[in-house]
Amino acid sequence: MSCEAVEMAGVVPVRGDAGLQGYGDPDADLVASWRAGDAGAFEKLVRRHERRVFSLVFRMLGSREEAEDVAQEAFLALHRHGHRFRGEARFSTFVYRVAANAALNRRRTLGRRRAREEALVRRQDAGDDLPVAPRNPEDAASGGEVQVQVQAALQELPPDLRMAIVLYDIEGQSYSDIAHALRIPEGTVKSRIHRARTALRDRLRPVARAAEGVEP
Amino acid sequence: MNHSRAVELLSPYLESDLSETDQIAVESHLAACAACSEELAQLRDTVAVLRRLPIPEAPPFLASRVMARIADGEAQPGGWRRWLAQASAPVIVAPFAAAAAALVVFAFATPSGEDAGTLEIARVRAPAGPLVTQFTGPVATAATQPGARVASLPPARGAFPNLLARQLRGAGHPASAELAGHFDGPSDAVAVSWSTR
Repeated sequence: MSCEAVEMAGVVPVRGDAGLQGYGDPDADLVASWRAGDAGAFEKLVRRHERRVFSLVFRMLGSREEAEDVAQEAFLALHRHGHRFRGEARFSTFVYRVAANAALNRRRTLGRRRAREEALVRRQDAGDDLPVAPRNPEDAASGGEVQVQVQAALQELPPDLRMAIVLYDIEGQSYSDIAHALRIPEGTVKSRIHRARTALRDRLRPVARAAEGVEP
Repeated sequence: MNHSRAVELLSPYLESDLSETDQIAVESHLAACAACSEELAQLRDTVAVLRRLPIPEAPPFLASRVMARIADGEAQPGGWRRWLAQASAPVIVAPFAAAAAALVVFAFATPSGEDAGTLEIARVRAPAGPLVTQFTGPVATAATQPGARVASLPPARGAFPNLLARQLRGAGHPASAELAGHFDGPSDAVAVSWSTR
């Protein structure tokens, strides 16, 4: 596989397949070089996976600013805990695991902060409803209305359901890879994906119909 | 297949992720259930919207910023691990180590009453010189009394004794430096014990 093809493999949303392990991990050489002390190899790994990591944490958090910060934290954690990678799954799955943990940790922090802020606002301005996930005007401008609506709908899912559907339907990971990344059984992965799709169905119905050219 | 079971299987049905038996059962149910057919169509539309989402570009300079932070040491262990790493510096540990060693030595060096019996006062790696001449105070007194003995024990595991010796020497107190001598040495550990009888 050419270097360019390897780079593209980290970007194009091709659904993962556990059977690909039999063809070798495309990151294996870089991981070996990094472990041998080659800092440049780690930088290449970061560049190869940065778009996927950023995409995952952005879909989880809904804010580009938070997502960039968490993506950086995820790669620092990857550097810190890289010795734990045993090669049982592909390195990209390990990267997803680290990124997922970073996103979920930030999500919990944001949730507590948001709850405090909302409680404060409610006390100050009783009667006004706040949006659960305030829209970022920059996101709205750059991503289009459909993306904004999908992102808002995702933010209303519980984090465990959101992670499962983001990894499967948006990031194109396989059940097996998601199970490895989240350390849960495949059956739980499937169940979460189904529950997430069902929860999103009603919220996204107008968007989906519009996208298909059907009147809502 | 009943309706609720069919609804549960619609998502895997979309992925062709059902056994042949379930696949046939779901298709039979769909043929007879308008609600499930509608639900399947909505799920398919939902999935289509999700899968059409573009993958956002990573922010510029993300990798460069990560590498700069690694160069600044930000990928080092954090939280309690970082605290432990810092706390293992001799300047911090030495006073505690000296205090702990002194506590062990002096607490066991003053057996009280006639029933104190045989007491072990320390487990250290083999000292550089004769043990009884290196201990001071109550320990030396006790060890030179009739009945004092030095017993060899299996080698201690790990590098702790040598680390403790370095930290004791860093404490800056004459007594701690002297104590440190008992934690040097690569060979067998020893136990010093004596009897008050």
